[in-house]
Amino acid sequence: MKAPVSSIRTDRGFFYESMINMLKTSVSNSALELLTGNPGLHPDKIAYICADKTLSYRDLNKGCRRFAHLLQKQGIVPQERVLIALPDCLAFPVVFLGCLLTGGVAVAVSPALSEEELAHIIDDCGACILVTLRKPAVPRSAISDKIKVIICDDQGRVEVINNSEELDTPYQPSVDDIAYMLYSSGSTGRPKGVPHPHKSLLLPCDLVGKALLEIRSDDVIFSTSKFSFAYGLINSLAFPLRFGATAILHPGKPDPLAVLDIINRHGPSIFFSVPDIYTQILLTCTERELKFPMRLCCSAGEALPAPLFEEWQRLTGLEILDGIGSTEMAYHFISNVPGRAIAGSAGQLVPGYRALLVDDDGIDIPAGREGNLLIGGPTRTPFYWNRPELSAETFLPDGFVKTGDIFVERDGFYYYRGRCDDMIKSGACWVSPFTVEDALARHPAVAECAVAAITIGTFNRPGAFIVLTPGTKQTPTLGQELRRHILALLPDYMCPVRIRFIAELPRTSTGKIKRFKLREQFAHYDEE
Amino acid sequence: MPVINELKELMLDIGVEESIVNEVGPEQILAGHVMDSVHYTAFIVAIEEQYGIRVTDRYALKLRTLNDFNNYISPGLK
Repeated sequence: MKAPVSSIRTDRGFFYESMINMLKTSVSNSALELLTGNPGLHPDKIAYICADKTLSYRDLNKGCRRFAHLLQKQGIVPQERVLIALPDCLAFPVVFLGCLLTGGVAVAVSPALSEEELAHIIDDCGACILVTLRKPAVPRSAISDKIKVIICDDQGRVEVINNSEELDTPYQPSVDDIAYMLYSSGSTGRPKGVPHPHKSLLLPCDLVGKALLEIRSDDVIFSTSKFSFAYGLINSLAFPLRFGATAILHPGKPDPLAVLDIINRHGPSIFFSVPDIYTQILLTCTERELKFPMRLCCSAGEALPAPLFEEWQRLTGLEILDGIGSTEMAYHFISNVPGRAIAGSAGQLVPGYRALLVDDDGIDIPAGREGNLLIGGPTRTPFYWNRPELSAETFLPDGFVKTGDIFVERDGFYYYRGRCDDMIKSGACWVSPFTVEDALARHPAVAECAVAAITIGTFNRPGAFIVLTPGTKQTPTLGQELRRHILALLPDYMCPVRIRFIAELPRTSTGKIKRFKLREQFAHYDEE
Repeated sequence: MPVINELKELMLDIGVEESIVNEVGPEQILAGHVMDSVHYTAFIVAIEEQYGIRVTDRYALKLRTLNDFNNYISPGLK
């Protein structure tokens, strides 16, 4: 049973309804919108800073049009996928927006993907062109003969091809056209494609950037989340260009010392990051060093713990605006707002979105009780790429999306309470327990294993329960050996921080692992 | 100093290089400078298991140096 419409939590502000209706009917090329708004107003202003290099609005516009022309020369036609495996460098906005100008679908992925992940995404999205840098190199063995590879430099220039000509007429998209696609980790460990139309790049600028954050042209934006994530894409691509601001890009890992160096050198006014990085910054600095130039600090990716909010505010004088969004919804749908942030809450519903909290049968749950969060709004993806069954399961006919998150709502503020499934958020990245279990099972000492979420301080990480193979002794160094084994196979945020050896895994009568029991055991251990 | 030395032993156990551990002073900030977040979380887990304590969320944000950890652990050892 569905909840009655009257119970839907939504902001009915006339302004937002009108704006969304207007954007529903007018379909413009989002790249053109982002590029034409500001280059004419202040062409010499810096749009992007990356290390010691900069890109002006004029050069960005030219670069995008040149790259679009190059793609057309390579035979790209509207709605064909172009896989962009670039770090956060000056080349990314040039290539991404250049692709959108042609009507191509920009598929942005991390250049640090494993061979298996890259091969899966190439096959799944059916990309005809891959754009990447010479260094860092993507795993070449994942690239089939069917895909053309364009190697550009870190500013999006292709030296081997004369691409001085510019695209004359940008593609005029239809309402159903896909502009870009991101890949999100699935519960089975295989990433799933999440396509978005052009409006998904523009609407978050109005609904969040303008209405909540009041981003201005004199803002300098720094996001530690990368372009290949929905959060980073809007933060570093859409927000700065829409408001004529400047963005700082960091191609490397967002380790706290590098982040602090960028903050000290460039003085961002808006800092977008994740709880993990905020924690690391607090731990890395002396209290006297925790004085920052930002006017806004924003967080997403995973729930911001209340102690972290409070300690950051105590030491820096700044509040962290937590919010929750998803790849499926393109950006935040719940967010705190400046001056009114509440510790431990993801914030209030962003005007323009609808939320429902329901039980497992889809029945509406009253305020103050935990429920599964359903979200509806104008930036919802139309479907998962090549996943009709999962799409039907996740995207409900009435426009709502099952987020998989459990929340409680009190006085209009939403509080995260966990996941409906077994997925783990670690360092703001999704981790499927199956991926970690597969890697652990390759170690000869492991007979069986199961992975579940654990909290260490304010860090969320995977923890592992392991049944050893007969004859294997549990030595003091075995845990460390297993961690080294995982780090050789998987990214560090997937590495279990606590490993417990047990005689057998808790299972249901049908043999399925009872992961909730494992989470309880970790929690019980924490309370001891 | 015995707890500091034990903490250094734990750092070695979780895989921090010996040359780095030898150089760490009691007032040196650990996270980011001596240990990345993988090592740091593993270090807290090792401390919890060694001393049978729980490092709470709130305190975990204040534990920057070996002396901080020593001050957190030592009252429970008396």
